[in-house]
Amino acid sequence: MVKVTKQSKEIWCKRGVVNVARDSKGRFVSWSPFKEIGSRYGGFGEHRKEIAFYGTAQYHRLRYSARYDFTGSGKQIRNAVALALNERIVPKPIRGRTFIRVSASEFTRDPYRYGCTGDWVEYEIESP
Amino acid sequence: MDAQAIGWNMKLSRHKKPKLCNPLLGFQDKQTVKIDCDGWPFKKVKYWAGRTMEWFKLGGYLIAKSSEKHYHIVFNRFVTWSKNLSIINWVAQQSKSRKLDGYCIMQAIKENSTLRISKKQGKPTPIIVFRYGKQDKGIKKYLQCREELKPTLEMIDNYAPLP
Repeated sequence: MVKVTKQSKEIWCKRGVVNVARDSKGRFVSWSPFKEIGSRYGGFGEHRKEIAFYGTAQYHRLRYSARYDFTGSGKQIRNAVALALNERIVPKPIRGRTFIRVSASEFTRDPYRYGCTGDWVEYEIESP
Repeated sequence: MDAQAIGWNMKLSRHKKPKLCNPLLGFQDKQTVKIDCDGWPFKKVKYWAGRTMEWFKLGGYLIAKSSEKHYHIVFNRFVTWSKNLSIINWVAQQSKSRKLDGYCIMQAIKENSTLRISKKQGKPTPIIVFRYGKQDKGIKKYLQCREELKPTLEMIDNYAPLP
């Protein structure tokens, strides 16, 4: 029985990137396919969440359905939502740019790049 | 405001002082199959959840009640976005539900399927009423998301917008 001392990610034998196990002298022992967690369906780890923060926004007299799609951890999303509520930030009323997809940390860093000061108002919207 | 900048979904409000309210929070992703059943009785929801799960081998499902005769279904198995849309459209077509048709169209426009998890104008947060089958993938993700966003939901509920 060969004792495995090292396991690493390598490009091996025309099979692409695989996990290779080697012994103490660096000799090949076995290989297994390399899988990145969540990569197949577009995820990046268990803690990454996608949250929609949506409603009807009003900028001066212009009323429109607006939406932020925040991605990030729970804490980052909470900070972004708190910022959007407290600073009354809504997406800018520019055609085709009222549905914004942004990471929560990026939004927290520079919120006025992704919105302007307006109001979230009570109105029936076409979204669950 | 430049007139050309006004899009199809924008309207000029008559009232200068609108009634303020808090925006909603929704769980969204591309790989979990989610269906919004508006105006369906519970028996019908359960029937379609079971039939869809069997037909597409989705492993398990969860039913959440968002308000009277309004339910959400979340399935367990992860699928690709094209398959996800195909499943939702299959249910809409087979059940002949107009509201579900509208839901499908909205999800296709946004390229993401969304289910509400916060309160909405008198409606409470969706309550889980029924579970069946495996709960280790999509359902786990949905429940985890709800659990981890509880502080955010409480914050939104307690927030009173300034006049």
